[in-house]
Amino acid sequence: LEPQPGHEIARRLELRGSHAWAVVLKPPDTAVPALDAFEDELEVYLGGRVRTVDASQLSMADLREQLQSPPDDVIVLTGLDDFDEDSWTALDINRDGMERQGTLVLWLSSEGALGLCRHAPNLRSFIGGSIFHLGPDGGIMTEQERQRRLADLAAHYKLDNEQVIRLAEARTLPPDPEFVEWLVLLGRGDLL
Amino acid sequence: MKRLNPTAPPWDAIEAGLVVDDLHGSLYQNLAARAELEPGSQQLLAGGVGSGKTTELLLAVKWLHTHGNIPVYVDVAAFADLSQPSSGAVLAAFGVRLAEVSRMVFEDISSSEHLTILERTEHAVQQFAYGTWIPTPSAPLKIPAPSKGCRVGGKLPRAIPVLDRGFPEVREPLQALLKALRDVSLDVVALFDGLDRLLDPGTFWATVEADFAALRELEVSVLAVAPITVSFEVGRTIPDQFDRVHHLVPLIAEPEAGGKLRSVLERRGATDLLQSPAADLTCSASGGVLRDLVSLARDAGEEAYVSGAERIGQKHAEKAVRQLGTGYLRGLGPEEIRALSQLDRTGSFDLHSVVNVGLLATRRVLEYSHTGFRVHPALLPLIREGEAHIA
Repeated sequence: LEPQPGHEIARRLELRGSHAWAVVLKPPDTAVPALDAFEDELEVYLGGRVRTVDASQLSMADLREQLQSPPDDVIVLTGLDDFDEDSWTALDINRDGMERQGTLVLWLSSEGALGLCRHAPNLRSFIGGSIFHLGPDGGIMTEQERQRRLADLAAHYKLDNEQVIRLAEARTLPPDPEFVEWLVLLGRGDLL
Repeated sequence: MKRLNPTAPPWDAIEAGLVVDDLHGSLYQNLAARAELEPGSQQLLAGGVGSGKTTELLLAVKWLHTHGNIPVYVDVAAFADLSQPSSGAVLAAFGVRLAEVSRMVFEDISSSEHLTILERTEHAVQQFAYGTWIPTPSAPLKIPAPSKGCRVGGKLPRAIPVLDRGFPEVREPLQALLKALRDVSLDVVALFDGLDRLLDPGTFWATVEADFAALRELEVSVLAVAPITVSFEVGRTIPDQFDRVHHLVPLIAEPEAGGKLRSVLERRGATDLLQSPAADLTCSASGGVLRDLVSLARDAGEEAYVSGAERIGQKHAEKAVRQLGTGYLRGLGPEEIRALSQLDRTGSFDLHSVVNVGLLATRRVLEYSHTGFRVHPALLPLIREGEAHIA
């Protein structure tokens, strides 16, 4: 699998809307900074706070409760890499308790993903081909990607770049994460 | 693109008109009609992961509702932690959900006598399920399906009662409530989802046998999903108590399968986006597994979007197929890869082998009949590439 930058994975998840599932394979050496940077990308593209839930010490009942409280935010589920066969099987049987409206990202090492694919067929079925290898250069967009994203935002909000800048200067721009992203992409983070 | 969501709740997809309801003939109607006509009958719907069992069950719920029954749909895996010993959980979840649905019925007909029976039953089943009495709020749903356990009160502990001690406690209250419903001409059919997560047949039977026997005693018809392994368990036959076991095979086995798979894509608007060869590849590479079909179409669409293409072409579909195949390949050991190669080369697939049953349960191998097996078509090219590399 080719590594993909974090913003591209986030864009895919944004396209999916609700009930989205994915596995993101973390880069082997820089797990913590990579997780922070990836969650920043998710916040920008999906809007709202991203919650990190560490499953390593949670009982199944507690994990289910955390995933449903609330059920509609974005969650990155960590702490699964040391799961043995029994733990994956238990998680697999309880897949229904993990279903939620908000996006669910399983943050795994390659070894962790092997465990999931080997012992959790119900989870794997939900994930399908959505196993993304996060590239180490996660946050950098090419110029072409920047222009495409700006065009997407303009089409969605029916505004152009100059209008957005004028609204920001007049302090009348809504505080949505997409407008924050828009200004950053225009190099006008000073207006935030 | 949002209509191509393989993980959206099936009930939402049905309500949004995204489901083709005759994919498996009139299976859901047959199941529902038999449940209606033969109170106390028990039917299993077995099949692989992602084959559409939940959708068939929910279509049966709708059919039963429109035919004047009370379908009590219970996703047992959402009510209880089935990874723990769970005899009694099925009955407990049924009781809780039946009380919830009955409240809607009795509030509509304003019968104080019936409400008294209901409250007594609510108390008994809550005790049975949770060990404590949790006052039930007004029923949260206007339609009798589907409900997740967590909707009742919000934070219920898991239900793991033990039938040996528990059933007598709830038998009489449940009987009284069912009689009250029958008095107003409403028959109850229990539909159990989530039990197919129990891939080990021994665990599946241990979880359901005593509970289903209790439901038969209560003359409640049962429709329940079951794991694919139940159909292929060597050395054990399915107990006689089940009047019918239907196996939901992948669609490709049927002559008109290509058209049916395409109709799934059409219903979700995918054929407007997919060029014809890409749609053909998506259908064939899915192997007839419905969730894989929708996943592949969505993933191909994402590939096209990310690469800035206007329509979804062959190369986007190919990339999506390879991604899915890689997911199936991941986690396979040498023994499993040998078994897949052998199936590909010789067509031979021995169900006495634990490895082979595992391949079936994890969908690396698809069953098109009781004797016709194939490697999942998204995985097959990767297995062949591996063989060529070794050669």
